Amino acid sequence: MIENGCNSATTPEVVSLIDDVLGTLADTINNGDFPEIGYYGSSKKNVEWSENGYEPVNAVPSFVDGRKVESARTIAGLVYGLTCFKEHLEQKMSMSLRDTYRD
Amino acid sequence: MSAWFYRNRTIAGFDNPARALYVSVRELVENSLDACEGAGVLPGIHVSLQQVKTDSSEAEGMPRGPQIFRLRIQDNGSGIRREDAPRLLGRMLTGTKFTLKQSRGTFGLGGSLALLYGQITTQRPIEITTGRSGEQSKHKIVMRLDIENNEPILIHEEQQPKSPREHGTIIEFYLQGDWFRSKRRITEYFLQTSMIVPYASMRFDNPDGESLRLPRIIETLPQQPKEAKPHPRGIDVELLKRMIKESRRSTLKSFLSGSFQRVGESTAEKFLASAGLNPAASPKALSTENLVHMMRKLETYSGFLAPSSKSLSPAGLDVLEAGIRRLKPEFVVVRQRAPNVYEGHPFIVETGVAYGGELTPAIRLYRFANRIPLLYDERTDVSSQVIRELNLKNYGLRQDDPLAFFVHICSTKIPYKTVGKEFIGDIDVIRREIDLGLKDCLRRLGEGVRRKRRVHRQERRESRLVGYYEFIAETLSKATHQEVSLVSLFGN
Repeated sequence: MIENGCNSATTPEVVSLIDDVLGTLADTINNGDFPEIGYYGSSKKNVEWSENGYEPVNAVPSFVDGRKVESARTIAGLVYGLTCFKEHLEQKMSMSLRDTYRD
Repeated sequence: MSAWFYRNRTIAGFDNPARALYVSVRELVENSLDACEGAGVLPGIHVSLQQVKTDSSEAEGMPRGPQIFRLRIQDNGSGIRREDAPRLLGRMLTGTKFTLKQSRGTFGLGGSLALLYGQITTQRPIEITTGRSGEQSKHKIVMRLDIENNEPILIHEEQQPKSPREHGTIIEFYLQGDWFRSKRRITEYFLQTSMIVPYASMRFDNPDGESLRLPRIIETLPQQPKEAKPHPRGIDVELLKRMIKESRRSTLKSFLSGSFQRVGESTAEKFLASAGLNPAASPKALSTENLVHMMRKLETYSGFLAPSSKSLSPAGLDVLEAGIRRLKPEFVVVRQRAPNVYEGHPFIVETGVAYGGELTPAIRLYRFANRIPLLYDERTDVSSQVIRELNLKNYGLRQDDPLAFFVHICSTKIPYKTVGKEFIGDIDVIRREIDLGLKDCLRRLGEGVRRKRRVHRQERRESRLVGYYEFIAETLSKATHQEVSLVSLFGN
């Protein structure tokens, strides 16, 4: 899906990816575990610029630990954002600010 | 003595009708408490203060001047013997309070002063009804005080039948007062007295027709103090002269060892040697210069043991805590310091700190001395000064927290700054004891408050966490079309 240094994917692929993330979160919670989300934060230290774009260097993931109140808040925001994106994509709306905030 | 009081009554606290009413109630309640405690009986005291209708008292709104009241105080003490009653109540300075023993009064004057004030202001006689346990009848005495000759004058006397089990005294007299201006103070006096004597049951019927009932909440009487000889460091030249005059001892050595506490033969010998006095000399033969010299040496000699604390009767931790619980706080910590000495007088400081519950958010100080609440001149009292210098932040507390401090000092001689017994002077050793006692309470209280705040923070955190997860579960359920339950995560 990486073409010319840019990520590109079709709408069904993105919706499927969002479903995967939301499904994993739902399963984790149903299993009685607090979700933990790893992510690669971008900063000058762990990315390098090349002609192909930014490339990760010695990437070590950071984790959002769902047992903490502030992390739970972040996850709630993430879940809300992903469901909004999914809805936009399914209803063929653009990601413009106008469409995003039309509700 | 009565004539002197008649001319100088302001010194004893009878300076205006409002204060005189408060002091009269206080002195007679204290006499009743003393009578009950002395007899080893759990006090039951009923005070009734009723306004006597006069032309000026009929006016609507704020009264224009002092009114006449009928004050009746009933206790369940041991009662007074018929022959002692007029003398005990109708004559100044007849009490036995010159001995070294903790007592509420200072000179044994208070009750009689109140009766004298009543007579001066209303010219009405005093009624005393008293009965002792085991006797078939009680005595009712109506009397007046002869101010110039300091003698009681009997007007009427009668015997009334009673049950042998019944005992106690009723004093009834009229006095001038100002209820409008003393109501708050008298009510506060009863509330605070009920805190320091929670083993007493008290009822106060006021002139407004209200009844303040303060039932007994603990059935334990504090241990009664024992009489003790004076300590050599707690006397002055006049007292020394009087002791020598009354003593039958023929030598200085035997006088010292027989008249003072903590002085045995060996200590007396060592002291006399250090003072350069002949142990075999007769105490009555000492010149005034020698007496002053001996007095100075007694003050500075370091070989005397500290005074005995047997003559003290602290409230005790259980009684103090029970009293403080009347305020319905959430936490109470009480501490009793070890006996200490100032100027040869033993004293014990008891401290308490209460937090939360029904206390209002501010710092409040309750002061007691020999189980008397001190209500006037709070800011100049030594306890007030100690509290102002406390750094509450060190104990995890703030100035606006609901906090109440309690300080009870018991001593054979409370260092009051005024005759009115309202505040205690700033004496270094007393200040230090209060400071250490309160800090000890605050340390313990701080732990409890911190624990409570930690639990509160934890609960708030959990509540916020559950809130976020409820939102997450609801959003996920809609997005994935599957049931997302939080039961496994948080239980039901």
